[in-house]
Amino acid sequence: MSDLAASRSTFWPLFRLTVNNTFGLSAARYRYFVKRQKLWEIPAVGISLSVAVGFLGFLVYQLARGFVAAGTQIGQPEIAFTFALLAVVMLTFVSGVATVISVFFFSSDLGVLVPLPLKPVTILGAKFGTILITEYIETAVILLPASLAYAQVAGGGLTYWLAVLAVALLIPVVPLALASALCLLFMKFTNRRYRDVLIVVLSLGLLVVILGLQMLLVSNVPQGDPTAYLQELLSGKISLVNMIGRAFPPVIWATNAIAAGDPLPRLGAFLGLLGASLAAVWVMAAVGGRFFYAGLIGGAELAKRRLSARQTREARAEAMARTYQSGALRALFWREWRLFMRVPLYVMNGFVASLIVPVLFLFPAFSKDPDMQKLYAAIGGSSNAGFFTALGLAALIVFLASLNTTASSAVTREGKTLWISKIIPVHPATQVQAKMLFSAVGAVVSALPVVIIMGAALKVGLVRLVGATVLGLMGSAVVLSLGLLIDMTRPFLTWTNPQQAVKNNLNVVIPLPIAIGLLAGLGLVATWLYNGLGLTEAATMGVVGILLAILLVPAYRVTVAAATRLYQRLEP
Amino acid sequence: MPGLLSIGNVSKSYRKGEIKAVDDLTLEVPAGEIYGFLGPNGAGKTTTIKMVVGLLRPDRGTITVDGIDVLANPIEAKRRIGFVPDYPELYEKLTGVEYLNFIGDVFGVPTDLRRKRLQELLEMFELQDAVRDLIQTFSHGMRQKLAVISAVLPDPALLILDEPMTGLDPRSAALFKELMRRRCDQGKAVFFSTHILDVAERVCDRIAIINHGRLVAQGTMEELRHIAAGETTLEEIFLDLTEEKG
Repeated sequence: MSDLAASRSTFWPLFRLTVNNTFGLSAARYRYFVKRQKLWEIPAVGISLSVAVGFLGFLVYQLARGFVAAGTQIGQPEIAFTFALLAVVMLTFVSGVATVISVFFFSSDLGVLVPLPLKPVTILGAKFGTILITEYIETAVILLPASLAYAQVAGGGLTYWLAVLAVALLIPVVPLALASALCLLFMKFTNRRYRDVLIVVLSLGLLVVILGLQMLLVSNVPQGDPTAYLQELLSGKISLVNMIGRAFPPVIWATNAIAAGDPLPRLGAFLGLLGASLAAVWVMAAVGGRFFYAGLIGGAELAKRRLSARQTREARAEAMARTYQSGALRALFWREWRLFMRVPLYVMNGFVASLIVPVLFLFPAFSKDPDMQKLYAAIGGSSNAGFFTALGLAALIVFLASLNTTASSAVTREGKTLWISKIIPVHPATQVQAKMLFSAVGAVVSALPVVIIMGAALKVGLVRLVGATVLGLMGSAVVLSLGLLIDMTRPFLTWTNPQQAVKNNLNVVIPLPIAIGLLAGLGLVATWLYNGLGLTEAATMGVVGILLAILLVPAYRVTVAAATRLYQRLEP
Repeated sequence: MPGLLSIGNVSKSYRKGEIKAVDDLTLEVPAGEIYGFLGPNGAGKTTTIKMVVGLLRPDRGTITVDGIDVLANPIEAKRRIGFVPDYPELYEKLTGVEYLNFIGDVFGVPTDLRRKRLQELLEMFELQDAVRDLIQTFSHGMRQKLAVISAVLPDPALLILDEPMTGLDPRSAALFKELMRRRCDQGKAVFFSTHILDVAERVCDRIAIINHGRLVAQGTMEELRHIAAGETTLEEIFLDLTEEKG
């Protein structure tokens, strides 16, 4: 058998196994169809996913409609695709870095796979394919609403939807393959002692570059006719699209593969995208074939510094000096903190997502657009607008808390180390309080940029700002409590790499529909109290605060009380 | 006087009673004894140990540690137990010393005592330098040693060990056996499962043999020889008592 045929014959079984293991397919089939246990989870998870995905999809759809409408004025509605595809590419690349390192280098199945007679590229390929499937979910949430918005204006037959499908399958390949190649080189040539920090710094650096690009776009928006600006944007006179086209042509090819008028240019653009995807995978395979095992084995080896007798004495004394007693709650809190903050994937999924959103919201605040400036002036000048802005700020804090995975994956993250939590002489309620405390710190960290920067940009008064922050954090506490309760009820403990604990864990999605429901209900109540009953601003905020307290006390109590029962039930 | 560990009529089954892992098990580990727990693969050793340390709930029966019911008062019972699992999954992203401090904190070990014990134990197992590194860099043997140190650090009355010699080098294994003996001489007890029959024969004061979840024999080596008439080594006794008949 040739090398290629041998690789193929081992790739597919390994790929099927990796997909099965990553998404827990056999485990789900066994639980739901053989044992018929917890069947309620199927509709519950289905509804939660539908609401969460539907909500995000709706936001993207609204945004895409705006782009399509603006583009239509200049006869080029396909600009919506360019931006949607660019968003997919950037998201895939940034989230890909932490995910790839976690899956390629820190999966527990590597200890089984590496000794098998498999080529490095076969293992890499199977793992790459599995990550790609996860990326398709993000791609669908962005590309499908954009395609719908475009189809409403430009029409869309079978060929159109087939083109959308083909592009959706190909578009994450290039950024993910490039992120993989980058990570393979990174793991080969960096000092393992500082790797985790470097990964976070690298990912944040990429984010800064991306956000900087957006800032550039926004700050370049000239005063006056937006249509003329869009026209310049598309014609290449303004740098961004021109730059995208030059720096990353697959986005332009993908746009043309869906929306170019004639079949021949569409086919040409599609072939360009396909060629770029194959080339990127080839580069990744070439780099992986050479450096994968080197990075992996280098990571497993312990490079000891040689210390002199005096340095050894000093190092040992320092370790002992750091040994002192503290309380159980504090110890548990720091355990949560260290185990979370030292896994780049957790940090990127847990906190950074919560930090990006406020920064994205910020750009319009610094826009030179006179209409936006008028809006901000109106918010600052009108008491009504100011009040509702404060409520919006509170809602944003709650929304960000629902994206924060610290609570909704708190038990899952323990994975195979759960036995330690079960044998220590600390009541489960205290253990859950430590998890809540850590999540609360996460919520405050997420809320601070929103409160400080948006409060300043929107000129929300200090009293309103304090009120909004208190309401926002109370609402966050409700969402985080329920997120933790859900993860205690159905933790996913058998994960083999950290990616599965947060990205393949449905529990992290469920807080979003809870937050949406909570915000919708409280928003209606606040509007009715303020506009309908004519309550003062302070009284309205007070009533909303009381309602949140009424929800928070039982949510927290139920969560802490459930800890004992659920910790007993969990069998590692 | 009840033993440091008392297991009374304990049963545990899986798949709604289809598989009986432990079946009406009763045994007692008195203070001052090293108690070996032997059995073929799948006999119910690990399930029994997991029930004692609170990782599994028995379907019925009682388990007490130092007179404290592990089901009714689990926290107080856990304060008296040090546990080493067969394959210790530890927090990869903590350093060794951070993990030991965490264990010290949750067991409430005072600073002075903690430093004294850690210095002694780390030196004994030659982990003084490695303990400052992340656990993810530890070999299997080093993890096993760290798990042993963390179990002994709070100075519990009862040590429960599931295959504790796995991964330990001969020197560490010898030191560990000495440590177990010293603890028993201080009136504490050790309950451990092992497949290494030589170790059990030389180290244990008493031995229990379990098969298909049921206790088939227990006693000193002399008593076991008496039960398995004619057999002289523990290996022969073990094979005689656990082989499938008919």
